[in-house]
Amino acid sequence: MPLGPSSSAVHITNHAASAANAPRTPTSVTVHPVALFSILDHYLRRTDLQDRVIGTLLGTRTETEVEVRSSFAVLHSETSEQVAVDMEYHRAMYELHHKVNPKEVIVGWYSTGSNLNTYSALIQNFYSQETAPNQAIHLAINTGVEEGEQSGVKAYVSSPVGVFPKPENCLFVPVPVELQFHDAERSGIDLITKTAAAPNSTTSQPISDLEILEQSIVTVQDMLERVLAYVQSVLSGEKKGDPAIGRYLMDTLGASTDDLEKGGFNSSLQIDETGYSNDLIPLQPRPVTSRSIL
Amino acid sequence: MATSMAAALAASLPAAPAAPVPVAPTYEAIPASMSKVIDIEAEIPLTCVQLDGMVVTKILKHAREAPSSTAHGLLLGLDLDGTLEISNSFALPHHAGDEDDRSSKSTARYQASMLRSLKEVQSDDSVVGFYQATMLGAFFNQTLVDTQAIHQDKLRHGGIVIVHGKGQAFGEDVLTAHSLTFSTILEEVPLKIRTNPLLSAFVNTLTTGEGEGETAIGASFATLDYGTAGLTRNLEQIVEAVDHYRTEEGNLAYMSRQIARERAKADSYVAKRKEESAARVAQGLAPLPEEDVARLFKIPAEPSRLESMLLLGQIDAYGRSLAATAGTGLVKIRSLPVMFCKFIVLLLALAASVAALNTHRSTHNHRALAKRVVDPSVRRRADGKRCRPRPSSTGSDTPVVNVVATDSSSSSSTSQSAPTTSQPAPTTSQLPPPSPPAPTTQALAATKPKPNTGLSLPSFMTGTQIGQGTYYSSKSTPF
Repeated sequence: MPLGPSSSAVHITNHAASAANAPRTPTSVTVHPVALFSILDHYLRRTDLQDRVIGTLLGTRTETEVEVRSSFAVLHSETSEQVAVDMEYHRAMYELHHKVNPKEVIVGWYSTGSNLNTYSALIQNFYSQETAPNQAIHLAINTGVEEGEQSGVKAYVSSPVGVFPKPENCLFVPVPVELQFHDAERSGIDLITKTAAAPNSTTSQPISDLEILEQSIVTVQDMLERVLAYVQSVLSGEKKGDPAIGRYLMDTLGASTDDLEKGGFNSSLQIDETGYSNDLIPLQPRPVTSRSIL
Repeated sequence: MATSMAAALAASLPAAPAAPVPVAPTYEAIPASMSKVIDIEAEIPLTCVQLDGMVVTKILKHAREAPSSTAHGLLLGLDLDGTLEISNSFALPHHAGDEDDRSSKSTARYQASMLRSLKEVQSDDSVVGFYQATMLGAFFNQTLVDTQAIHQDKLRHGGIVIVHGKGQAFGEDVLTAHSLTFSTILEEVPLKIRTNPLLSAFVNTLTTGEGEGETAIGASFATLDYGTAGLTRNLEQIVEAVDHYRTEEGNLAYMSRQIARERAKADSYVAKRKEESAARVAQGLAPLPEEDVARLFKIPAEPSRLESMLLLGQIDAYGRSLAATAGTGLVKIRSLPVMFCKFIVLLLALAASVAALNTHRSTHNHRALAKRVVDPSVRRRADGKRCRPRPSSTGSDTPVVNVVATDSSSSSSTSQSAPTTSQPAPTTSQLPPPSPPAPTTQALAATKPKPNTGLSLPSFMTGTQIGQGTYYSSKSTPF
């Protein structure tokens, strides 16, 4: 699930160089919704003087993939002369997070806005020291608040540039970034998307399982109806059939053909129907308060 | 509307109601228009709890990753005009059982430094309650009540518990808010979820995508999965809770019998003394001196009923979640076949249209397609989350679920399913209908009218009726 417009950057990993002990450059970054939403919240709570906010990204990394699991805000100040990051705060906050979730380590940093400047290079240099020997990643979140800018997330890794590498010089190489969450968290994400789409941005809780099931079924039915309408219009010659769509439909629906031929569909239905309706009638145990005590 | 504007105004204020102690300068900083909605003394009762979208995801993540079955954390925010806005949360470190004193100290230290740190980056730093993740909705337990009792003394409005139902892996999360009361132990407070405009905008761009059909958050059909693992677990836990309750009940009965015996002894002793002294008075002697009966007979204290009350609450919650799961399960079984039928209709239509589509397609494509249809190994599932029937798993469930039906809930779930099943009828009539599952409906008709005759208890609970001195009536509890 890509988070932003795709970039045309080419990812060349130098296998010969990485044959030595140095870890390889991450080639993909995944972001958990918690990290993303925390960053947005932090941006909302910035002071008037702050142009952008920065913070630390926590997560796990494999050889080529970095998984951003959470994030926390870090104090910093930028003036025309200098940039300062509250390192003490960053350390203390990391210790606190580390206590709750020992698996998550520092993987990089985030900033809002999509402009990369000298200060970005300096901060990147600082975080590279924190994540050594691995490379630090930089997540640039454009909140889309400024006019004419599309909201989105971009991830970068840095590489030194110039004959004599200096901390303020660095090249930010884009890395593809994706949103990732566990299946169990899916329901929560659905809840938030639904809330975001609601007119007053609020939904009341709790929602019963049946309502949610009904919504899913209605969605599937809508989709089926749309496809059916399309196929029928192609059949009647109103529309010209798109081979790509036809192929895709065949691929999707073809999966269940041999089951149908063997009559497996019917038999599985029977098992399900009789088995379930016998056994799964909802039961409501009724605990009782009135009782006699001997 | 007025509330949200007030919230916006309040956010720009220098955190007026943060501390329970009224501070004079902040008090004057509140404009006259706001003085009614900001209550320094926490006098406006809570009517609603509003949970920020970020907090929802934070709790979810913590609940999933927590090493133990329960996950605790603190909720931060502020209250305004009866609405408690929870804007942030953080997880508390998990401690393994022992060394209670040290762990509570370190938790307190953790909490203090976390709050200080959050304040530095302009987050809300006033604790308003805590959250807890539970399994299948049974959240009544001793620790929860104890923790809430501690918080009640310290926090404004007595603090709030957000209970997050874990375990229904693909079901909807049950988030409920509670505050502690005397009579019903926990009082439920209506809960709302709110996303701030920035988050809404961002999520909306994520769901709509850039017009290429690829979105970060697509539609979800996980709820259509048959998944029955939760059900067996639910039943197991119900049985376990009933067992616990039974033991507790036995203990209570034993203790109350003991009390009764001791009391009877004491009473008979007192009566005897009275008789003797009356006899002495009649003989003209001085009556016997008063004696402290309580010192002679140690009457044990009345046992606490809290534990059994909590267990009843747990059973109730398990029962409710079981009813919900079974209800949706029933709807799935009734309605999903209808959708499968539509799939078949679509397939037939598609087979007819293949010829038409083939004219636009190169021969190479055609051959690949033919291969795909013939060779099952080339088949590929484009979408991993599609619903699929699992006939094998039902077989393993049958020995466990051996339960007498209750009429009320089954009829409610079938009536729920009615609108969805009746809808696709016109479309199926247009096209060659799929082989109707005639035997299935017969089987259903045969099995459905299986009423329980008068007995409103499930069969596994009848075993507990034999116990002496306990009886069950069919009244439901006032939980």
